[in-house]
Amino acid sequence: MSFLSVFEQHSWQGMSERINAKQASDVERALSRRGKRDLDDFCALVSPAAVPYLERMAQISHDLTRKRFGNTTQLYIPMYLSNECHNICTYCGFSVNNKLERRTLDQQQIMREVEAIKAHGFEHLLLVTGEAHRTVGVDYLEQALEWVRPHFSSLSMEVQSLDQADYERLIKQGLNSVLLYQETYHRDNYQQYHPKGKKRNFKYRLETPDRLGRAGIHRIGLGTLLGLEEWRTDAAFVALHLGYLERQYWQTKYSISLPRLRPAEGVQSPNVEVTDRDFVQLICAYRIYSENVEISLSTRERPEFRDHLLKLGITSMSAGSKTEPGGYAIEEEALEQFEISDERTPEEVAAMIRRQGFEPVWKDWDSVLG
Amino acid sequence: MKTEPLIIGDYTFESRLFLGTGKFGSNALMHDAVFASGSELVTVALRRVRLQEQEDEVVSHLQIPGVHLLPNTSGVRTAKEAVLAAQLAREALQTNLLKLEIHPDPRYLLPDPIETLAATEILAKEGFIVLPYINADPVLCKRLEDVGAAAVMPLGAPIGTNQGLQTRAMLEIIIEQSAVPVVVDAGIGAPSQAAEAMEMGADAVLVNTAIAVAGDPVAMANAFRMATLAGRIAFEARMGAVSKSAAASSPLTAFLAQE
Amino acid sequence: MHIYVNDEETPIESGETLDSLLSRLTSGGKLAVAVNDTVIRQAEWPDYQLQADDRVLLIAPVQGG
Repeated sequence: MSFLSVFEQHSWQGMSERINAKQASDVERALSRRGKRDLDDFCALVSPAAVPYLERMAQISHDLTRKRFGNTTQLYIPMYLSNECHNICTYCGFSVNNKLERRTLDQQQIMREVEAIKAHGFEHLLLVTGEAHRTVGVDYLEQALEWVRPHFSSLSMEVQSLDQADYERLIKQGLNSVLLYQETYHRDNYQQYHPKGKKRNFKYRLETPDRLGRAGIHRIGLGTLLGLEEWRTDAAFVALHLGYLERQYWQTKYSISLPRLRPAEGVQSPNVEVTDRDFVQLICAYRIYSENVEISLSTRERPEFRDHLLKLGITSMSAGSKTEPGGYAIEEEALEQFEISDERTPEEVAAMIRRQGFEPVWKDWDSVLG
Repeated sequence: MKTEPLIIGDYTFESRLFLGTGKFGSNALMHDAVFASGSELVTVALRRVRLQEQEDEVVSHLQIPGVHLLPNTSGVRTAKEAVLAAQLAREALQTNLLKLEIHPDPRYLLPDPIETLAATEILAKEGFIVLPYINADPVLCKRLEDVGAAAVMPLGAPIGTNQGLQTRAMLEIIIEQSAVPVVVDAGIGAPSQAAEAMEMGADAVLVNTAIAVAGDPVAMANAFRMATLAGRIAFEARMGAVSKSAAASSPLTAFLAQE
Repeated sequence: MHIYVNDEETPIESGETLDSLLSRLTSGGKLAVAVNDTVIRQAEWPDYQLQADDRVLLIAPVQGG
């Protein structure tokens, strides 16, 4: 049993039609429902018919988020370990066909980065790599976790898709959560965005959260890359995936990210425009669908937009991010995965969070038994 | 009007009302009530045979087309006893269906979660279609699912009390989380309460006392049949709900208009 | 010699089978049997020879919720 069998009961076309058939009455019903909303409600919330309800959705999303998560916002920071990659992803600056200086951090470099990051007070670290199994395989990741583990209370990872046994190894080294975005649930077009490399295998990627769930990971992050395909339909597949996972791997927490395609060197511009208004609708739809899911916001978004989103359902955000390996301590000008939009320091972001009446949380939790 | 069929193990049910057969004034009344209820799954208990006594066989009164028997393990107090009782039930009735109930407490007949979990794991491995009767504990339900329960049967209130869905808040979580059918068992005292459980999204309800001790059990069985069906139709029709209209404080999306 | 049937001391013939015991004591119908806590399937009853002090459990379905 995996998500594949659930996924195959739905077609892209069918899901898209289901969303576009929604009317105001469907949105009203989804908004006023007592208890858990289902996929059909989500389709209504993310549909064009819900656009006139945006303010009401925002109010509900705000209330639900405060009720569940309190007046807090988690802060995390990504650390790029390597930009080596054997994949071609037509939207990504790390693609193998892009000419850029490739670098994989060694122990000494990692520890210099750790020092720079720790100076800001971060306790939640997200490790990021491209996909290069020989240089940045499981052995390297395991080693990197061992090095950074004593310095952080929570370790997340956004790397290539792995086997269950690999995840089990990394969890033993302190890995708490894994973010792995499907990029798009449009199976045919997925192949076009990924013409080369292991990532080309749609099914292997789709079943990754199942392998993570079976490995007993603490948290799984889902999402699609906004700008590739029609975002409403992709979001409905995320909701379907989330609903399946919550039932199947009930001891795991879930988070959703909304990476919006940003310009990067040597990549295509977005196929589909996702406006700020669309973005807000999407956050609110996810929140109203799932009261418990964490929603995370990166520095891809503009500072003033991030400030407004803080109240709408977001539970965690990155701050002060650099998207190149060695970006915090070693050198500033290596080529990035994508351009940062919010270039404020972590201290400035934390001050903004406080000004809005929220508590910035650097340290979410401690593992009680080591 | 037809609703989605309910599937438990290899069995498919059109009716979402399960009946218990205890406490009826006579076997004839029990038969007529089962018939009127439209139920396709009725429970029976197992007891030691009293020697040298002519017994009226319950099973002969339940031979109604489309009605399956669901033996229970009531009377056992441990997982070990439950496993033996289950094996005997399978022999006696030639069915893999089993309502697992282990209650060491003789006053309220509340189920023992620890023994129930242990017995479910053993019996599922032995090929039983196990429906454990349990308190409305969402984590226990997921644990039972993990070890192979075919459905879960959380209680609405202590058995035989007719108090309705006292465990409502927990039942809502169980229904939301469960990957196997949820049958609300015990405590349902009125047809409106059966409808309420079905409207919440329960997959079925099990009713016994409320029908068996009614002034007219056959009429009451009919009422429960209609209430269960009505609740299910309402669920499938996707009910609108009372609006908890969010009193708009300061607008949260006004900034979008400025662009 | 004797055995215990549902905890009741019951005399049997030496070498008596389960089948024979059941036809003496019960009136037929749905029934399940365990001897010393092991279920004996109906097909095995004719060949199953009872031993002294065996604990025989006889179970039948009754009304219940």
